[in-house]
Amino acid sequence: MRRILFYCILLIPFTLRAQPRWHVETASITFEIKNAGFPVRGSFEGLEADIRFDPARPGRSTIVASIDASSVRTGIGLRDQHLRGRDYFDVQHHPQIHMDCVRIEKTESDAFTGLFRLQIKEVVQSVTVPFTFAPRGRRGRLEGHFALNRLDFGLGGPSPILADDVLVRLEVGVAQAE
Amino acid sequence: MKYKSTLLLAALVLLLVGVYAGHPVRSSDTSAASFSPGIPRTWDSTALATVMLPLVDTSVTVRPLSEEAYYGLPERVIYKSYPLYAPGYMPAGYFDSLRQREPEIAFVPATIETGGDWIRAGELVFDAPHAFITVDSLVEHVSFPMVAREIWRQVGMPLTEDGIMPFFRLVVREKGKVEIGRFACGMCHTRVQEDGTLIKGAQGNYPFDRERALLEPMLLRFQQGLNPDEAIGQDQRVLFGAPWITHASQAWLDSLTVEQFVSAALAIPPGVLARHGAHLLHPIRIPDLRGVKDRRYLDATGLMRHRSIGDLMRYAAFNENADLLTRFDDFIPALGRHEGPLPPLDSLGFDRFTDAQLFALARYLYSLEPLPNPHRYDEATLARGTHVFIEEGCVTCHTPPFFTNNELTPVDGFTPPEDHFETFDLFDLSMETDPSLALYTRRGTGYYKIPGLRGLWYREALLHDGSLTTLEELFDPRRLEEDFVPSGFKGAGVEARAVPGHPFGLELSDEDKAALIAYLKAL
Repeated sequence: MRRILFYCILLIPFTLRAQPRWHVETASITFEIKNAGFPVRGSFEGLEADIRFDPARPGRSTIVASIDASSVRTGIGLRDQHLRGRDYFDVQHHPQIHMDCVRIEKTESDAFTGLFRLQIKEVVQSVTVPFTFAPRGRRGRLEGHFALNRLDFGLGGPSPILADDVLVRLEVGVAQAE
Repeated sequence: MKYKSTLLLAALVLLLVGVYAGHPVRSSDTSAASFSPGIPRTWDSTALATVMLPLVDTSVTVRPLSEEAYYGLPERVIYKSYPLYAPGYMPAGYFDSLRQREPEIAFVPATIETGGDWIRAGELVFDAPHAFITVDSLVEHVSFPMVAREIWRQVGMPLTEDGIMPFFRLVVREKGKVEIGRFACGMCHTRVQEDGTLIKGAQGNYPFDRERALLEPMLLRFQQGLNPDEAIGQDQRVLFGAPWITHASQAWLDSLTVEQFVSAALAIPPGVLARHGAHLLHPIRIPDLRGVKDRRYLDATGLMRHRSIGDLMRYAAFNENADLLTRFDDFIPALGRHEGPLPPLDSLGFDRFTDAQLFALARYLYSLEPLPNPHRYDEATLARGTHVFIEEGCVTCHTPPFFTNNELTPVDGFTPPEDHFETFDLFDLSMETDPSLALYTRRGTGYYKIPGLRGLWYREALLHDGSLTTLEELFDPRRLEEDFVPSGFKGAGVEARAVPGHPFGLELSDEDKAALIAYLKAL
């Protein structure tokens, strides 16, 4: 029994090594929500991510990411300030938005579905993120999207004009770490 | 094509919003059917306990007049009143014919039967003055013709097409004596358009403070034994005193001279008012009362909640006399520092509307809707304006159908206490406008109310202090510069100043700006 355990421990580094590690080169985190029937688009910056992902063996992947909540931009300064306040992201108390994957499954060639835990403020919810990963040599591009209900995360209150559903798009250029 | 589809979409959304949002207060019954209302008790201590927002300085204990003291005030009698014509327009023998008339009480509750009757009776209350001066002599040596010649002409008193000054009414309370009645609700809430059209309930354009600047020193000049500076200072402390506030504008009241008073009051344009509880240096834009039934807060600082018609009655009573008799710790505006019981209030000249009069007034105000703009804009422009209104985010605060979300925004320098988020309707973002009115006056709550935009086309004082008079100025980025010359309230001795805050629509293209302005003027 001890011997089996010993071999297992020895194998762990090889298993991890088998998952290529990627660092973020470019990132576009955008969102869209309808206000009075018209789309309002916004973005976040400051993506930090630990991506260990092998398209051939996605089931063993781990992705942990966070963005700077105060980086929210919609093109109107005072509105952004409101979004940073307690009614929405409350960045003073919750400076970051976190996301980490529970599991990833391959659906087609270069297409995957990830189940992620998304934490905004104190609320953690599962979100399903369909995404593609297109490798080009040691670089790759990850593109995905998901929808969330802003009320589930305490982002504002019920509104006769602001929709509840928010569409989030992720476009991340990555390069394989040495 | 793009804008046509935009307009259709926006119209649909705005229609749905209208259905969803509903009215905070039910509109008036204007039918001719018999109507027996349950008249709310105006000065109800339970309702009063929660109707007002706290002051910025919560260490000050605010105690409104007691029910007993309020209902002990003499009831106001509303007499039939008559228009006052400007010199040159008065029909021949007009004053003489009025001198022949018997006094006639106009507000008689027993004659009010239908919803329409209540509204008509409310209009009488709206127009009912409660300060009177005879046409022969305002005080000794100061007659109506003299005031008309030396003051009203100078301040540019607006006149209707018939030459009527609708801010005043002539009243016969005693046969043979014709009096000019002042201080009706309509004095500040009546507007005469440039073409002489009258809009009752709108943001008024009676040049109240400019008249005061000229009239009050004139009256003082003829009163023996008074130190004019002291007398002026005393009056202004009654109106604007808030001794717990440690701002320079309060200290300014303590050493006020007639000259300073005149300069400050002359600087306040029509549409703006140094209303009691505000300040000569921090005046308030006069609100448009049309559409008031749909507003959750009353006053530019959201001083009073509007939960029912009873609250509107309370607000009217508060602004008639009750503010001046409210205790702020040991300060009562009408009396200064005062501890112990109040002296007999009728001896101080105070009276009150009856509950029925206030109910009728509130019914009348509920019946007033914003008027449609007679000027028509083309559909393409309006469609584009709708798009800009939404895209620029205006719709978030100025939400249809009332074009306000009925929320309060904290001003710079005020952090809402935690319990306010549960109790009041807050939009937790400062618009970065001048906070003085909300911080340094006894109407100061730390908030400004988000105004409704319906009827914007007939308003001339914009922002809470009327700094600007046109939407073109509001959307002009140059207003943020120190050398900008605002067309509205600037302040005494100020030639140019920045008008900060509300930084929306400043970077629009000329076309989008024009479309947005057209859209706003069409609301």
